[in-house]
Amino acid sequence: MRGRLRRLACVLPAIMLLAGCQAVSQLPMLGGAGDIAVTGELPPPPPRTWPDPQVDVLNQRVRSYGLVRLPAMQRYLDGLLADIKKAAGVPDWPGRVYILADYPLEAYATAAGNIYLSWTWLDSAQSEDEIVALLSHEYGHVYLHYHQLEGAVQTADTAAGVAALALGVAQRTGQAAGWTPVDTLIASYTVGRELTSAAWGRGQEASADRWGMNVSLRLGYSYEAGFKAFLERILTWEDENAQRRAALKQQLFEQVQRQAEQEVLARDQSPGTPGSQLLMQPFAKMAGALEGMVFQGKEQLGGLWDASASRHPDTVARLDDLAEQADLLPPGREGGEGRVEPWRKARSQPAVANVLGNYRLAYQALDNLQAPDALARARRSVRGATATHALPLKALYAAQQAGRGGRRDDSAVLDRNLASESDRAWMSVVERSEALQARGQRAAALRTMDAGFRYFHDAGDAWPSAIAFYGNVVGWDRAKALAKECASRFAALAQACDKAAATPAERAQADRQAEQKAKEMVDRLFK
Amino acid sequence: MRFPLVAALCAMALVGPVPAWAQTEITGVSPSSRKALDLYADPHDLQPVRQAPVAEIAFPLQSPKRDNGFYAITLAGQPFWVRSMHVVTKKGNSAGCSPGMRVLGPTNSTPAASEAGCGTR
Repeated sequence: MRGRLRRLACVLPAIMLLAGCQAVSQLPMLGGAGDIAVTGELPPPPPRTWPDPQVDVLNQRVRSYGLVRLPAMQRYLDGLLADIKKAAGVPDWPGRVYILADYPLEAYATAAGNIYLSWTWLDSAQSEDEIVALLSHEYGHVYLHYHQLEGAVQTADTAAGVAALALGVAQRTGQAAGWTPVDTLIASYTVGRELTSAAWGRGQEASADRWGMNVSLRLGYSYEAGFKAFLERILTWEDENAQRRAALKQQLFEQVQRQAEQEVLARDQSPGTPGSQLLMQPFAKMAGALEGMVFQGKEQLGGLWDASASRHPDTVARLDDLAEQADLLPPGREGGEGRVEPWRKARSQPAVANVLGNYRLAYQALDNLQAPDALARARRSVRGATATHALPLKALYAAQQAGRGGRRDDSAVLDRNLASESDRAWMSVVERSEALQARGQRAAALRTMDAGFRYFHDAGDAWPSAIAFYGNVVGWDRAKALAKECASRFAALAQACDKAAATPAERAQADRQAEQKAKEMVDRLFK
Repeated sequence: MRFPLVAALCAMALVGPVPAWAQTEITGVSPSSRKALDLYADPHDLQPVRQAPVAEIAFPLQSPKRDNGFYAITLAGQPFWVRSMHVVTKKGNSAGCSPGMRVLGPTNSTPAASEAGCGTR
């Protein structure tokens, strides 16, 4: 494991250098936002065919802990989206707003025209202007039809532009490094695809911002209470998230150091050599420090990677772009406190406030399962409208497990979610099946998975976890047959399904091969 | 009659953090290329009384009050007002990252609005 870490730490910068950010900028399709003005006519929308919206919704229910059923709020949000479509001149286009059970501040749009935003956005936004900014930004992605390239990049084996870039990098760096062009092609293609996709993503964000600001201004919303507040909230969230990640990394770093020290001491624990542990302590400390350095190096590389591949590396730049545009607006159009009252009214409807409050309780419980009141909070979170919601039930399950030290299977509470067709989430299917299997209840586990997989059969993202489950419980032949079907139905998931259908021996073999290949790459580069 | 009132009050209590104009943290200028910040004597003034070089301002600044699109601040012991359009402020949220939560990757969609994950990539 330690060897693998070191190798990874060596290989990653090499691959990043070879992939080269400069290559990304050569993509002709990476346009900025300059072609969309925040006032005046919008560009005509590209033609498209609409995917099945029902399948799209089913697919999102597979992610994380599914969707939050909140009809009163959804009606209100759908009304705002209808205004946005009308202002953009596409009143008959499909698309509705759905609420995610996710904890992070998250939102995205899909090619079906649907917008998905986390409940935390509803809990955090302070005016209708801000929520319209979010919705219009998202619908900008739909209108500008950016999903067409994303699909191409995801199934990028045929993405000629990306492959051409990778080949260009291979030609340039192959000679200098004495590395075969094939190796470079593979490496730069893999990483370049990520970077290209990320750079494309950044261009999308800026264009969607301007498109959204154009539409929200047409609707009479303020820049200041709308887009400015929306982006400021994202900035604050990203700062907090960065601090959280730094704290977590520090914890992991210390853990790695401690573990390395203990490993060295344990290795030298030979009987009959009194005092050997004492003698070995300085070496153990050194081993811990070395391991920590490798870990830190890897984490720094990871940070570098995150910065280059992030789709939101610079929210400040987005805010700057819109601020400069807002400065050009006629006086009175940019400022204002926003429409606070309709938003307050929509959020404080008892049915809405109860659900948001219960999700807050559920996540408070999950945040600290060891807290004395974790179970009480989790119990309160499943009262009322959320009694069958996946996330609060997950919180109850986890809090009960934590209270009992995992000695008893409490996963039966998840059945309440599985019994509710409208609230059912794929994660409940997976967790309940796995819990039953872990307790030796194979037949019940299979029944749960069979029923869940039947329901989520058209949701491609359910397949890899289902395949892995069937491989472990029924047999790998079944898993491989399913992987074949998965590849034919969901091309973008072929690799994930194939990986899920690999037997433990095949997985170990693949790991060994990857490690060997990485070693060869390093040897060629540095020896 | 009493029940709906109680329900409404409970509902309001359950709603998340309310707008907090009472105390706002100003973290920088907008756009970030702005070199000087206009300082106003009154939130209804059209012309600034002076400009402060951004490089000399120690952010964050705390603003106890907002009025007419302006934030009250104190610089070098003197009270001023700055246009809210000219500054970036901290905005609260109730989002988070629970440890140990299983998350499947994004589906065929456009991750947007913000950095989606909790550093789990």
